[in-house]
Amino acid sequence: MSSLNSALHSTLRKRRFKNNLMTFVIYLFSLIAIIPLFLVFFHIIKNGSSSLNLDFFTQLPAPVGEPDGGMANSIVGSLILISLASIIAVPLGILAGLYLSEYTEDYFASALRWTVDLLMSIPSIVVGLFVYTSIVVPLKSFSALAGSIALSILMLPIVAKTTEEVLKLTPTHIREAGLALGLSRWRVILFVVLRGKSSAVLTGVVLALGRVAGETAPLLVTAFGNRNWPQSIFQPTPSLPVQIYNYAISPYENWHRQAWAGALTLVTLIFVINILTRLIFSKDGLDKNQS
Amino acid sequence: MTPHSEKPLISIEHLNAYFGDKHIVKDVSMTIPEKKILAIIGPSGCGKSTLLRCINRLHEENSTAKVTGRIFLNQQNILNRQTDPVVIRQKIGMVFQKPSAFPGLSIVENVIAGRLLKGEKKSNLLGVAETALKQASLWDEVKEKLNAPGTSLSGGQQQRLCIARALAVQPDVILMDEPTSALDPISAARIEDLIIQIQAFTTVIIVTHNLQQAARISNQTAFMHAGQLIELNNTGEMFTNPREKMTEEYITGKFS
Repeated sequence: MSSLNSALHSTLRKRRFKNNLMTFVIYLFSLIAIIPLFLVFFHIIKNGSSSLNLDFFTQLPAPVGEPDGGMANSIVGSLILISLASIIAVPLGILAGLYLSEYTEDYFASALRWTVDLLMSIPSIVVGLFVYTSIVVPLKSFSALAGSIALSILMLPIVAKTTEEVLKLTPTHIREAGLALGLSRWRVILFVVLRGKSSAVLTGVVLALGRVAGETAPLLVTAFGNRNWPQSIFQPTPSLPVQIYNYAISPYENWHRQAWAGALTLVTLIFVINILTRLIFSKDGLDKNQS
Repeated sequence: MTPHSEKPLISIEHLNAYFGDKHIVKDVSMTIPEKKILAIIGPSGCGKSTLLRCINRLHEENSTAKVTGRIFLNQQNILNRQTDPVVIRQKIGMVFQKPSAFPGLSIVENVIAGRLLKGEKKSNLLGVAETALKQASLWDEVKEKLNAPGTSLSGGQQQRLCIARALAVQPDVILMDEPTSALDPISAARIEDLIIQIQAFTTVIIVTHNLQQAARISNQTAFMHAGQLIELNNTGEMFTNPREKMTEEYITGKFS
């Protein structure tokens, strides 16, 4: 009996050891995976925080040789570009995702899915050049409009793909339960399927925003940038990534510090958008119809 | 085929249902009286659920599905091409095997979903919600948390929520496709009690694998095998003195 007990104890000890070892390995690898993220954060905060002050958020860039100045125009320009791009890409992307998830057997859906996959893999500079030739050249001006169209082309497949994947997770019996109530198909799609997954769809939108907020290449040939406040969506418009790029490749120490501060602002902006949208939609839209 | 002469609410005539080339329901004819419970039993794959889904035209949501024959609800042929399935489904509700509370909607919104999601004001439907929840014996358990998510309820409660949701649109018939098979015995017993209670307001057609359940709750039982309706009889007679030998073999467990 005692030998049986000791054998049992020994097996249990081995199991516990293996269990603890595997847990440790999983934690270790998870830690290694997030180390680059923290290193980037640390580096940006270390280099950028010293140049962050009220002037940075309220002043226009200072001329070469003059100290201080800010990136207020670029922050405003980036917000304009991201907002315009979202207005174009989010509804289109969500509708495309809805179509892909609800009409899977359709030939058009197969073609659309293939197009979305292809669009996702196109380099951003190619999108920039496409918008340059199709919008900038005919209008004879770099503009926020061209920049936001370029960004929306990059956002669209991400929103469509994430929406499709998320909506596909809705079980068939939920869709059928909606139809069985005498609701038309479009109402089931919009008010049952999409509403039930609104948080997850929004996560896809935030992911797409984060992806395009830092895009530089397409903006260099579309929005271009300037050192003043954005005047109109039909004129060259400054943006944080382009400003950071211009300052980072300059030979001036002061501009390098400002580039780091710009990078910190950009990362914080994406972070704040992410947190805010999660806070607003954390209840799955439950409180919208409370009356 | 009808066991007695009560006023029929639904009349099925020579119904055939297909998925592509597969002939699932074969020439089924039967009548179903008003405010009674009909149980449909039979081995897996015999066409019970397909027959049920033909009655509210959910069958045709599958692109390969085809139906021939006629189903009359109050003398109107609901399989007629001119008849809008959306209108039919308002008269013939359905409860599924798995509890299907709508995610993103509160308990009360789930109950009134059939009207709320068509644009009616929530404030005008609160009375409807209360009545339906009381009919579904769920009111006392949820009246303090009507704005909590519907998905926060237990499986058994969610299934009663789905029955309340079906009742809230005041259908003539409620179809139930194995509504207790995903539930624990206590929750299943509550649903059975509820089905007997709602018979007062509506006709119930229930597909079940549980012969004891069919015997406990239904007035009539239909036995199907290989897509064909073998026997439709009063439940008492079906389980004590079946007309067909195949029915007897099935209910005595000689084949399943």
